[in-house]
Amino acid sequence: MAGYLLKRLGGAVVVLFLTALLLAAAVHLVPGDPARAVLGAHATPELIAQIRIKMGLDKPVAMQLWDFFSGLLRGDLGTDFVGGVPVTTLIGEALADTLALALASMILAVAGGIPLGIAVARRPGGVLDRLTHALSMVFVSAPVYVTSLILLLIFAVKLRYLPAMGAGQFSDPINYISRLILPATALALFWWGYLPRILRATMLDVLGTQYIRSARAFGFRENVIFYRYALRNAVLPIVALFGLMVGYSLTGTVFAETIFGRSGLGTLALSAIDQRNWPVIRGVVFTYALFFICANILADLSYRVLDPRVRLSEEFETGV
Amino acid sequence: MSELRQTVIRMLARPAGSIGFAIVALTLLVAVTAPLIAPYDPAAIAMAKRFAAPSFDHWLGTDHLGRDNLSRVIHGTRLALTIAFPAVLSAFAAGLLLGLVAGYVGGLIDRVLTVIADTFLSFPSVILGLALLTLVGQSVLNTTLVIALSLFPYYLRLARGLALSTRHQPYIKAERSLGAGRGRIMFLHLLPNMLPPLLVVVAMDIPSAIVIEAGLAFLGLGVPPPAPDWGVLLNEGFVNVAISAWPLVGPLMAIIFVTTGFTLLGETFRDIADPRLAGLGRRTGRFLMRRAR
Repeated sequence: MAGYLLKRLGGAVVVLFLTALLLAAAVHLVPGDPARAVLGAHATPELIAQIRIKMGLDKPVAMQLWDFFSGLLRGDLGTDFVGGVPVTTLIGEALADTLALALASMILAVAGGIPLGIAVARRPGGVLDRLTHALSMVFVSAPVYVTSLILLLIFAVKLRYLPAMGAGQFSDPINYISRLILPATALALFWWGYLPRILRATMLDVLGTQYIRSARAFGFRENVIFYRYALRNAVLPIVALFGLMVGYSLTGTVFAETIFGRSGLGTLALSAIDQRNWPVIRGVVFTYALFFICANILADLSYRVLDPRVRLSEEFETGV
Repeated sequence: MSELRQTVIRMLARPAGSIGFAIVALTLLVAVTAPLIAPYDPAAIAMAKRFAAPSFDHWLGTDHLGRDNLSRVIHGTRLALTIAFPAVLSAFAAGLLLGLVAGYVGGLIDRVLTVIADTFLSFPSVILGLALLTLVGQSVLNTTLVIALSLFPYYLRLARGLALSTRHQPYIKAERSLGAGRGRIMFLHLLPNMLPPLLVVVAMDIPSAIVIEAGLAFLGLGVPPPAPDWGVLLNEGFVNVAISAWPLVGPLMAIIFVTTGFTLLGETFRDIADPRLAGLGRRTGRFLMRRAR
């Protein structure tokens, strides 16, 4: 296990390095003048000359890569073109709201998805089962921006129940949380479709095993068998989905933030794109990749820690 | 061929399969016949009747420029599919070939290819798309390429896994002992056996591509406006949501309808067509899932 962990972390460092390299070199990888690629087709020659110096594009490429990497190791992602603020400061300010939303959506996802899955698994083939099965197809398929827009239309525009726009301030917790409800629900809907299906399948799998049969033969009550013996094993694969959840939530926040007018990483990236503020774009993309890589390691590790079968059967597939 | 027919019959026997099939068939039909069935020109501006509510003339109302919402959604279907299909197929072709080589040849090539794939996988699709489209500029072709680029590593890893697990099968060993070269084994023996399970995955990825494409356009970075792309329609509808919600209704329903249809079809197909994929699905479930937008 320690060996695997080391190997996996080593692989992650390599991938992180390549990710940074790709971002550092991106302006040179696209055809044409890098300064023009950053500023777009309508930039004035003066602005292009200015940006060329600001970004150090007049230096040799190797030198630029070195500057980027040495900065990265010092925790410096450069300064933005427009305000001259360090990119890390901008990201730090935006990160809290994004993480709050991601966390809220994961709590909602689990709080809604698991009980629903249990209810469905208790009576497979029942009314609730068939209803959730049909609905889950829609929930799983609908992208975040669709669920967000629908919730916005229903609850914020039509019914005016909840504040629709903005993230609010931490100093006013009730207001802050009420502003999280709609976007977090939009993100959680996918899991309300997905978790019950997984839980139902694993639960029925587990209920068919020998040890459950033995427990029945011993005369344990059905409730004890269901909750004490079966559920524990059936929930394992779901715990392992945590890493995935992080990844999904982070991507989804880009849309949820835009639609509900929240501040955060996603809106930071989009406003930077509007301003053609490449250092900020690069920094935000790197931050997402960083979280994504960590989430994936977490997903892999939890798989292995929780389910020994994966450890044994998947050895050949892990690659790096 | 009769095996295929049997599979289709078994799929249609299930409600999920038949509904999914009907939706996908309808989507394709709408995409092909878009100019014939759309009641209006999707680009025809009529400022006199902006933001009209649904009526017999305009079933879904009109948008901020008085264009017919229904006609724009119908033409958007065609646009969505003309981006999704080439994007997924080119990603599939590239990923399949590279993954086959990585899995079968192994060694340094395998390591390099896997690391490259993992690097691309470490960006969420939409984020990668945002960064790249900022640099290369918005267009239909660039959107297609960016989607293909964000999908190919999944195929690479899938194909690699399949190649790894089939290379030790007795029939491959027999072929090798007969003196067959690498190329012959890879392309004549491994490839045909890997195609059926992977094609299912491809079919299930069409909605992913549609979703990424519309998402990028919604954020203002995919297909540029006046095009009646679903993402563009959502963006324009969102901007004007305080005035009228009707421009949003069509594209929202279209995306839900089409993605659900493909999902139903794909899942039914996976359930019954290829038992090999049941195991594959479990092991690679997280890869499939991670793609989630």
